Amino acid sequence: MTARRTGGAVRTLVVVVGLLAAVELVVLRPRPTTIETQVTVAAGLAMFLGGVLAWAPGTARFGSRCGVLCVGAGVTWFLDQFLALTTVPTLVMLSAALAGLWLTFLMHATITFPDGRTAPGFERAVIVYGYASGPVWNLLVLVALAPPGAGTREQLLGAANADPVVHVVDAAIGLALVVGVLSVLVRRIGRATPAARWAFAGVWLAGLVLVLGGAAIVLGDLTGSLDPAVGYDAVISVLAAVVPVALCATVLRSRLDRVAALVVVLRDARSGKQVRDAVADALQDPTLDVRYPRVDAEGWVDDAGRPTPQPGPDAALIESDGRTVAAVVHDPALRYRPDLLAAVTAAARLSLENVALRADLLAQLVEVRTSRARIVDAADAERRRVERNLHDGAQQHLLLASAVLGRLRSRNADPDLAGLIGDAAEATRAAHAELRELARGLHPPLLTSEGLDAALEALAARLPLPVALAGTTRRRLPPPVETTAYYVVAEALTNSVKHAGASRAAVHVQHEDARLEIEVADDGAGGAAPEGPGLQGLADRLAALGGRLEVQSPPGGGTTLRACLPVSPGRRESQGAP
Amino acid sequence: MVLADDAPLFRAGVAALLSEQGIAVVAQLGDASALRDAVDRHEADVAVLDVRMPPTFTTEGLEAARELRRSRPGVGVLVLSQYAETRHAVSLLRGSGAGVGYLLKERVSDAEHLAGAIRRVGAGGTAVDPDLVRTALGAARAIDTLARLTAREYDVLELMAQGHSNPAIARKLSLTSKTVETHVRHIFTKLDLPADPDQDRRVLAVLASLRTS
Repeated sequence: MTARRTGGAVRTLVVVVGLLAAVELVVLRPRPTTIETQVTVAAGLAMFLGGVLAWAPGTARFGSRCGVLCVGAGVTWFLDQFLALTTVPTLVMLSAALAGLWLTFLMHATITFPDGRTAPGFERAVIVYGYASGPVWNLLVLVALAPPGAGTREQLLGAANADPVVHVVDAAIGLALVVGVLSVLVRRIGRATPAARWAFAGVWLAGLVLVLGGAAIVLGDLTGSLDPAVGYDAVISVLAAVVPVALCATVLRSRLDRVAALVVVLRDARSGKQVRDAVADALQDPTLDVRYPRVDAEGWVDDAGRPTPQPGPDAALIESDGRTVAAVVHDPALRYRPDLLAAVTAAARLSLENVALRADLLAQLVEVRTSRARIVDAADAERRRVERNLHDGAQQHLLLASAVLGRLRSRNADPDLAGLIGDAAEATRAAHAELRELARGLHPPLLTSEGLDAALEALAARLPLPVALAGTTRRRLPPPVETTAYYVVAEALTNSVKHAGASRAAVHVQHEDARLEIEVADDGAGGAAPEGPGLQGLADRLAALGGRLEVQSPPGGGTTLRACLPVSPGRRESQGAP
Repeated sequence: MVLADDAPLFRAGVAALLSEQGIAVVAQLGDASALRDAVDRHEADVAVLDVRMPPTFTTEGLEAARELRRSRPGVGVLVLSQYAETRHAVSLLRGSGAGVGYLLKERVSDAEHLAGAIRRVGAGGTAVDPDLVRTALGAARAIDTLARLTAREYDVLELMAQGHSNPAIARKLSLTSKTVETHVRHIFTKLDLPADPDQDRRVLAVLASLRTS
């Protein structure tokens, strides 16, 4: 919004300059201040203020460019008034060049209302003629026809106009502009749709009043039928003020209709944030918050499906088919404008309902994801529990049996019995060894105590094929991530040994802040089926954590397993390795 | 000696087995927290402890063993483990192999082996589980480091890595001490190890060379 803020500053500056000019003009004019001076200053201020109000900086809004043109009229108006008093020759020239330019600016604003753009061809020609004809003619008269000597612009030009030919040409140049502007306006009015005519009527009418009024004065002057008792300068000032007032009123009327503007904005609003912003804009409440109730569950969520607190009793509830679809939590002051609140919420109902449906879906998605992760967590916890139970129970008993057999063997001298005891000891040892491998397969204790790197190292060392381990994790990772990564490597290497007949394998671990990548490659037979129970189970487990699995296993070309999983920060990571 | 293991039945079984082997178990502990006190109070020569003990059931025993080695260098420490974790053994032997051992729990089925390891550790020697040695040598063999050794040299290396002295190796393999010494010298040459290090350092040297190879 920087453009808007800069624009706001420029607007303030323009208003200040306009006010200063007005004050200066009142001070500079000869005393006593006449009604004429007051009307002149009021007209200039009308151009400044009307233009600034219609101008919406940083946007391409309705009437904005015409507002700028109107400010231009105000600037030239005041300059014109100042320079009319000077007798310094150079400034008199400048004054002559500027005389009447304010009128062209106002014509320009009227003709091109509301978008400020000129159609090429006749329209553009009229505008260019308007800006060029006055200055060129005035300078020409001043340089070639005015009598030598000092004087203000009016005195010098007035003297030249005493020549009837010059006077007629001068009037004709002005009337040509009037005719041009009239024909453009008439064409525009003729081509406009009824709705546009209705909407822009005020500005166009003001334009016509100004042009025709001006023409009447020029014609009256030419025919000498003006009443010398009437202050025609004041009349012109009043005519000049009509356009900025009409312009500003037309533009503001459209902008003040917030509900209509909201409907237009909502047509293109896609995201929940856009809808919220539009509603907040319409209600002029930047603190506005929209919350959505869950459809088949308790609680409220934001537009992204994240849980939010329940809205308070003051929130405006949006209902559809007797069901609340959204709650607009607004500035309490808005309760003094119930009509606006009701109109805005009614206009936004459909959009909010759409966002509500999406928010509920997102919330469901989050729930499904967390429940999948919970299932994985629960399975891991169960495997750890079974491993612990085996360690504390069956394994201890078998060890005890081994110890007893060991004692028996060392006490016994009978060779027959020694054979039997040896067999029993061997069977017990084998049972214990099998149980130990089973327990370690369920959950390797090293993974819990020392982390993924240590567990992978131990796993690689136990296997009957050489495994090249590369890369490490940067820190301890959340238990589900470590466990999943371990299973990926364990499953892949087990396949390399059991099914692929590989002679070597390589494991590569790459850990960047928020993601862990594991690659296991072997030089075995390839042809692994990704939909087999082992790999499918791994893929499911990875998906539950938001990761994915890629398997490349062309027949005869070795197998490469690539797993990628996100590492959510903040979950138990501080359990440092001993 | 002092025995620490959280399973009372197993503890009792081991204590009985050891006392029959002529080793007095002067204190039995359920966890490692009072280990040093018990060792001091009973002036024990050796502490035998399980890796996995309360409160977290991860590597408390290993921690306690390392702590005891630092604070009581004269006391032998033997760690018993359910699993043969090379990493744990190496971290335990780090610095010096003097008076330290790492055995699988299932060695209790061989009373003489266990008692021998405890005595060796108590006397400042080293005891490394044969399974662990086999895994380490197996991995090294797979990547050709040990291909240059003869079968007999390999047997000697295996026993050496377990912590046995030259005379003990000679006895186990029915060789003369002289022959064993020759084999050891050849092994050290072939593995590029500094010739004939201290008895208690050579286990370490061998394991370290296997790990880095």
